[in-house]
Amino acid sequence: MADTLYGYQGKILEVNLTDHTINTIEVTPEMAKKWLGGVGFGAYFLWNRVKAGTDPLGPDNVLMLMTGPLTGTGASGTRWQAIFKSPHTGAWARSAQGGDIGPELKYAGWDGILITGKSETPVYLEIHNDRVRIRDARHLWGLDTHETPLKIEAELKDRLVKVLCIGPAGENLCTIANMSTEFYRAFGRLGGGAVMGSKNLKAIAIRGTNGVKVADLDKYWKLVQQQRAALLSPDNYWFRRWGTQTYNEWLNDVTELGYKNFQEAWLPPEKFRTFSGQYLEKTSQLSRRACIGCANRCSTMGIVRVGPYAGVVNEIDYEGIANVGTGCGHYDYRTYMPVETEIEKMGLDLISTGKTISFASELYQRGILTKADLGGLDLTWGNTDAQIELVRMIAHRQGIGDVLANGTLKAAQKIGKDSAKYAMTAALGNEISGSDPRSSAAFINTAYFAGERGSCHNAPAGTWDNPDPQRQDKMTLFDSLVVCLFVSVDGWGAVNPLSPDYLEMLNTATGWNLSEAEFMKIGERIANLEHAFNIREGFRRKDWETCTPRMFEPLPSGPNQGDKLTPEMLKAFFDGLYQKRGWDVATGVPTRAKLEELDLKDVADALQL
Amino acid sequence: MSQERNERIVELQEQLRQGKISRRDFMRYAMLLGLTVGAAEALAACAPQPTPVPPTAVPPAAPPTAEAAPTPPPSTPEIVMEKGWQLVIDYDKCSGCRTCEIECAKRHFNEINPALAAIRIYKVYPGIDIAMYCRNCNTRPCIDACPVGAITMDEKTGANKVDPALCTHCFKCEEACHAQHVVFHPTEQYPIFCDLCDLDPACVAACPEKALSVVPPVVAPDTWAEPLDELIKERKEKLGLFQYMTEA
Repeated sequence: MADTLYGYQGKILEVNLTDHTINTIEVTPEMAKKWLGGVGFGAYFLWNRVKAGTDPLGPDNVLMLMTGPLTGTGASGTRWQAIFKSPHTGAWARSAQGGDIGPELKYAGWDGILITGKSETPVYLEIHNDRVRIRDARHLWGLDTHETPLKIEAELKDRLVKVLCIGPAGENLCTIANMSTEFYRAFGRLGGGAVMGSKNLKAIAIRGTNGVKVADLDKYWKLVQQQRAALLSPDNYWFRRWGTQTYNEWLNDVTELGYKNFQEAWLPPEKFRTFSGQYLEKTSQLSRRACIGCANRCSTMGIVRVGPYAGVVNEIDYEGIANVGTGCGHYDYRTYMPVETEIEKMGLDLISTGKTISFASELYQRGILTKADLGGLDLTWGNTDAQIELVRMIAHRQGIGDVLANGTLKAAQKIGKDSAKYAMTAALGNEISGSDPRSSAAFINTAYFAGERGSCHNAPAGTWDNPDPQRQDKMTLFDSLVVCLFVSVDGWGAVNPLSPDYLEMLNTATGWNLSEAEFMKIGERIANLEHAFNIREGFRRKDWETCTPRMFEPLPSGPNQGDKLTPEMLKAFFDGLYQKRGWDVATGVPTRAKLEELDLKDVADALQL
Repeated sequence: MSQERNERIVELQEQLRQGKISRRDFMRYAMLLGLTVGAAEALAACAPQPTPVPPTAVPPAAPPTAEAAPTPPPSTPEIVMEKGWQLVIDYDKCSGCRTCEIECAKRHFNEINPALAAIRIYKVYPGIDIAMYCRNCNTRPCIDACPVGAITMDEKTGANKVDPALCTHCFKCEEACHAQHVVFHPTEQYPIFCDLCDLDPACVAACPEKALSVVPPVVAPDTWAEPLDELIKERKEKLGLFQYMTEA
């Protein structure tokens, strides 16, 4: 143990783009045990390196891409994380990405990349094992996320190189821009693409040929095979068959499938038919795609075979359907997929851009925005051509696109005229994702408020009546290991880090002997540091306890018609949550006692508690 | 050639004549002694064959009208390459998860490192994932191309075997390969061929999609290995993508 840090590569790559220097940061066993990896490392570096009030799009913001101890170990669903200060909300941001590129970084011998500074001219980063080069990217500037990887592959004469890149949206600093790989996978939310664009970093190309060492390979492999068998078992049948499309039917049945900017959240059966997993499987499915080593292979690749957009190939997943499909008034994958593909080509976040399009469409429906405002676009619900044009305008910041490029809330502030109440945002002003939180049957709705990165669908903290910060901590641990949320056998429903036994996997991989309590404490520590970062930035409880007034109106239709949120529900929820967290209930500021309990004395000192 | 080696060759020839060793063994031992394929073949030809090697493939039934004229035996013994076992893949099922890569490296090197695997997945385009690996061709241009005879064939499976100690890293096997694709060890630079794991392949056992299988010579497809670009083209055609595409 003393000499080898199993499960890790032991070093993080630091790239300063201002003076084009490259550094190595050592990962010590103490650091690994305290912060685990992924989001944990990100939180640690972001807290230490990004001072309060730093401009997210300035050279002082730090963009981190971190792997965890399980990334690339051959287990199912291992990924990597991006951590940065968000230009979209001004707060802490983290985002996860699948595909092969995260593990590839590990195979290249690095636990993470930490990017600081700002290059004068566009560059891209080439990482080939220990050889790291900053290369000219002037000829790549302006290319979309589908062309860039192909160009880089040709340039490096390597078809196995994995490329993370931004599109025109990131270059133009749209705060809803993403970082994209494999054409359709992305660090979607919170504007990582804009951070990359602000640093003039077009892409990162990674190729690695080193191995990952685990402490007890034979035992670890048994766990990997167990996990694989669990994913192939009948328990996981539907998710494995339909991927996230499984949720379409279920969420429609509980009145959560956001429709036309959440004006409704339910489609009657005859309209819903074309979005059922069964229909999509029969009509659209081209093949399945998996991240490295994953038996779940939940990416359902679909193709449009008829109509003016025939030939469009893309993943058909729940968030795409709910945000860009039904959310923007489509009834058919054949009309919404071209829009989704354009969004991804331009390097925009599917969820926030979907919500931005539906926001503009609703303003058009209500006459707040006119055809003239929109540059002649007829933005009626489900108009594919107009929506594609709008996406291009957003990415290039042309006309109304310039207003919408910073997301719905900032657009509403610019447009005025009462438009703010149609901006579907919740905590920290971030857009709500695909499912409607009003339904009483919803179980991830608390994530739209309690998410540390602002409104998101990945960090629910229990239910309204029973806030459960431990569930958030578990999510944080997933993001630190870094493993996929979909790999737990019950899918999204009953997230549980002990099934498959991630703690045992971690202990076997690293040779540690963490108990469950210690494991959960790491999660709580990371969650507290994330929160402390936001507190230091000046965010308080009221910034989370906020959402669009629409969520306080009853659901107009569907089986759960009449369900709604109330300010009292939110208040009770936050009271309970912050009490359990050990934070100040009125403001949300962590208490010194709590931070010291989690070995974060220096954080308490910095916050002057 | 040294005197000592010469003696060994004569010994081998004697054994071959007596049928103690097979013709394939003779070739292999001769090549291990440093002979080229051509020389070994010539030496083997000196020794009369105990029995002609029967072709394994079922001979096509003679058309009923054709007269049963006995074909004269070939004057020079022809090398009949037996069809080996083959690893086959169903691209319709493959999800590109690379479990095969990880398991292959684990089996052969006991490491977690897909770069050491004999199989490579190219994720070319959403929906098109192509696996490249040694297809066990009926002819082995790689064996012929190897100047030092580092590549040999396995008796049982017919899979390529590599002697890393002999390899000179000239990459001629890749140039000669029908698929233009050979995986090389990332640091040692010798070729890694699929050895079919002695007919119990780790990749086949682990493939979550059951896309891979290993088939005996009687049902092994007669296809040659193809370059990646050809496979991509075929795959696109199969999926009906060409009609929508301006560029291949």
